[in-house]
Amino acid sequence: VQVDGRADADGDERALVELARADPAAFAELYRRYLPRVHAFAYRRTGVIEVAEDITSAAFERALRNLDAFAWRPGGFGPWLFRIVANELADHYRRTGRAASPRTAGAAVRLQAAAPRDPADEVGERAAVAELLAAMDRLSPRYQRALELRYLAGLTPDEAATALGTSKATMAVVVHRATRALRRALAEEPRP
Amino acid sequence: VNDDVRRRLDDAGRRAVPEPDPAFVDALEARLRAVGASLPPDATRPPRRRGPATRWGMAGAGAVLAGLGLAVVLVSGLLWPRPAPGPGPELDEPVNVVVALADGTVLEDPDGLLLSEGAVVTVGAGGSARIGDTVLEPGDVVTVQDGRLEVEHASPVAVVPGATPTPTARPGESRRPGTPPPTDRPARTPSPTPRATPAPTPSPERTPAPTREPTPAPTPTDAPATAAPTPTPTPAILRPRLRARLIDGPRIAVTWTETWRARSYVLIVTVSRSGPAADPLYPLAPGSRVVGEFATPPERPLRFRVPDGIAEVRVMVVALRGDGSVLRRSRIVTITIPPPGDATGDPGASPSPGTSPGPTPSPTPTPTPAPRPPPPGPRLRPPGPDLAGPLVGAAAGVGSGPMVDEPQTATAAAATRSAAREDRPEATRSIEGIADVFRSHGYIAERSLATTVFLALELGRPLLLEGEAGVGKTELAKVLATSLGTRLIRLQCYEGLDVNTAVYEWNYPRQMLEIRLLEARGEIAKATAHDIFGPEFLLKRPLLQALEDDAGTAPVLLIDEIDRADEEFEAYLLEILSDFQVTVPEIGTIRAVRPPRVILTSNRTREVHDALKRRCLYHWIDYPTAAKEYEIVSTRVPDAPHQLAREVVAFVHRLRTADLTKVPGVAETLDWAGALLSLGATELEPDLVDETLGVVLKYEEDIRQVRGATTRQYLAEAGAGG
Repeated sequence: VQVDGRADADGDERALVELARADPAAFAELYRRYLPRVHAFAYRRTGVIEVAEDITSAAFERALRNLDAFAWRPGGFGPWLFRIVANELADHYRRTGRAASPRTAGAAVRLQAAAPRDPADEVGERAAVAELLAAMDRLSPRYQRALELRYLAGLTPDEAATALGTSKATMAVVVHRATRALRRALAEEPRP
Repeated sequence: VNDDVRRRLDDAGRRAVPEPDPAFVDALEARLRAVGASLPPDATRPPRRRGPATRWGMAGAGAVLAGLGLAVVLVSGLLWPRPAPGPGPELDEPVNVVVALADGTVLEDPDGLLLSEGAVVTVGAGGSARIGDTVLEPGDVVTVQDGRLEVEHASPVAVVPGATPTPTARPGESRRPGTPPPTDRPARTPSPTPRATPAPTPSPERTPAPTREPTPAPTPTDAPATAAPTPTPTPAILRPRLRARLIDGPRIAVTWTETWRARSYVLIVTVSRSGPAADPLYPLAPGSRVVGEFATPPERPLRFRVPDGIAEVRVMVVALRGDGSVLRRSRIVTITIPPPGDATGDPGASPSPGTSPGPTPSPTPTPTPAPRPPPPGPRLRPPGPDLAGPLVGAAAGVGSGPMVDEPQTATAAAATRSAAREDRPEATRSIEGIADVFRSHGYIAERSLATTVFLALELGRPLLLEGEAGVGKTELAKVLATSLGTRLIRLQCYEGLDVNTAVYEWNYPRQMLEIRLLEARGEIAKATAHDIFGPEFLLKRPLLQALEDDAGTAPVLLIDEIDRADEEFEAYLLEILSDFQVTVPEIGTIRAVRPPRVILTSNRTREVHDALKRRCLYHWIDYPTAAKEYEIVSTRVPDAPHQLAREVVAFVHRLRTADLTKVPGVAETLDWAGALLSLGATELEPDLVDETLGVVLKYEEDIRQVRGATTRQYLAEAGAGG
């Protein structure tokens, strides 16, 4: 049943993508289907609602414009879309140079604290997460993408590998190395 | 080994996430529909991912310009010789084309280039481009349609010419690198119809042609217009798209796009005289200054003059919600100002462009986003947010800042200094006098110390006191203030102490309140930076207080435990201690009327820098001799019986020779004597000592080591000694 359901969903999605290619208005269905996950991914990675919304907007718009370039793969539309999100995230960090600027990171944390819609999570937990995310900023874009897609995007390992554009085995290796790098990044002082 | 990191990642991945804001969801969907509608239907959409040959084939659709995977297309001004009658300017004029390649080569064709119907201009990654008022970014695609420019922006962020753009070119559309510059393109026609001078350019409005309206306002030819707001039907859901660039003057032209849900926009600037400027921050941090708050993006670029000596400017726009909270921040645009040599100033040019009254009042008159240069001098490595740039003297040169003082001259400082001498009470004008006055206030000073204090007062030099904790360094400052009959201003140092805490900080809530008030009174448009950067919005921290103190006599400024502050702060202090002035860029230089008497203390947890030491007189305060300490005890705890005082002092002295984690200082001796006195003791008893050791020794190991047998032994020795 599961397999059938999955296949159905895939077939359904494939049809949606084809439809959207011909008529961009049909993209709305894909959008509604993926928005919560994309938004959650961007938020988990950035920790700032405003930035998450920016990333989400940019990713969907880019996906819509480049729908033609999407070649159907098993696993569906999701991995492709998340790859775009991961690219947007990488662009975001490259643009803001946040990795090099604890100051902006501080501002982001402050903004987050001020954001009215901020979930009332415990302060310590938020600090721990912020530290983790800040350490991720200092990794190479490829490692960032690997960790994001593996842990923060809510994808299955298969989907994450597809999104990263590698085999599952390669993904595991990259994730392992990225984790090691992250561990080192956590241990060292943020660059002044 | 990586398990803990994995666990943290897992946790981060499972973290609860707020639901997307429904308003955002709807708006983005509407936006996507609009984007979708603007895309050509599948059949006619330009094919992507074809071979290069096929891509070249696209030229058939009209002239294909640029591309240039890594190049920039700069179609400079001089386009559209007349305001278009219809919805937009017509493009049947030859356009003067300048192409800047990524390697810096600039190619210009004076005859211009005809952009024919259907022409497509694609800006490759690696730079930005301009067509008249339209600034293009990498990935932007411009089509000539119905005789007008249709601009489709690929990226939500602005790219300033000169800044490194983020390559965002969309796949199928960028040409391969190495494409010949447009000047070689077949499309180029040597201006067959030399129509009028290309002087007047149409309004800076651009982009979606449908909404464009003819705006006859001429744009200065000397300042090839900046991009202007993009009045899209759907405002950008993304952050405000900020464009800022350098025009001659040197001036900076700034504009940004409307942002969905934004109620107002705050334009924030930071500048630096040396090296990179700090990032603008909102809420405001020192160093960032508000240039103005606007209800809507300006219709034409705002222009600001850049004062001499500024090396770099960073600009950011923050879109605010109705309640004043931050909605979005634009990206930060960094503009490097060429040294004065290159920038041939054009004093006359400034009035020409910006003055044309646009619908949105432009704060052009604002004397440049004055440099709120992040502090420190060139010799300092920018330490942190706020210690990075020359603070002192930074404003000198902010030409337009009306309130800036000329830097004080050394002679003037000397004069002030000698005048200050007359301020001193008679009693403090001799070494003996100081020792006596101190004694009368309960401070027993060795002669060497009294001499140093006297010299410090006489020479107007700061006094650096080092010594073990509890020998009376801080106390000396207090007594000095009392003796001089003046106020003590104390700055307690700690790691991470910064200018905000030490010198001044802008009262941000008050500034916001003022902005609201101005808004309510409808005066916000006329407001200048000075309206919210006046002295009344300044929160004075100890160093500034010490300089500004006008109580009639120079205050005593105690900079306590300087060794705990960061070295950057120490370096910053050098500036203040040599000139006794502080520059607040927005206000000017604040100079001490009467230089404060400065006392620095250090516990020597690290070595104070030589440069600082050189500016100070130095004295090492040692533990006093037993006789001196007895005198101190009897002065400070006069009720203590002689016997008790003597024994306490003897015992403490014995303790100081013991191998303890932390030996007691004079402060402990006094505390102990006081404690014993309040217990009614008249002499030291072993049990009494054991019970009260906590007053003298502050480490459990020390107490355990001394209590019992050792106490008795020491008592015996002390008794023998005393």
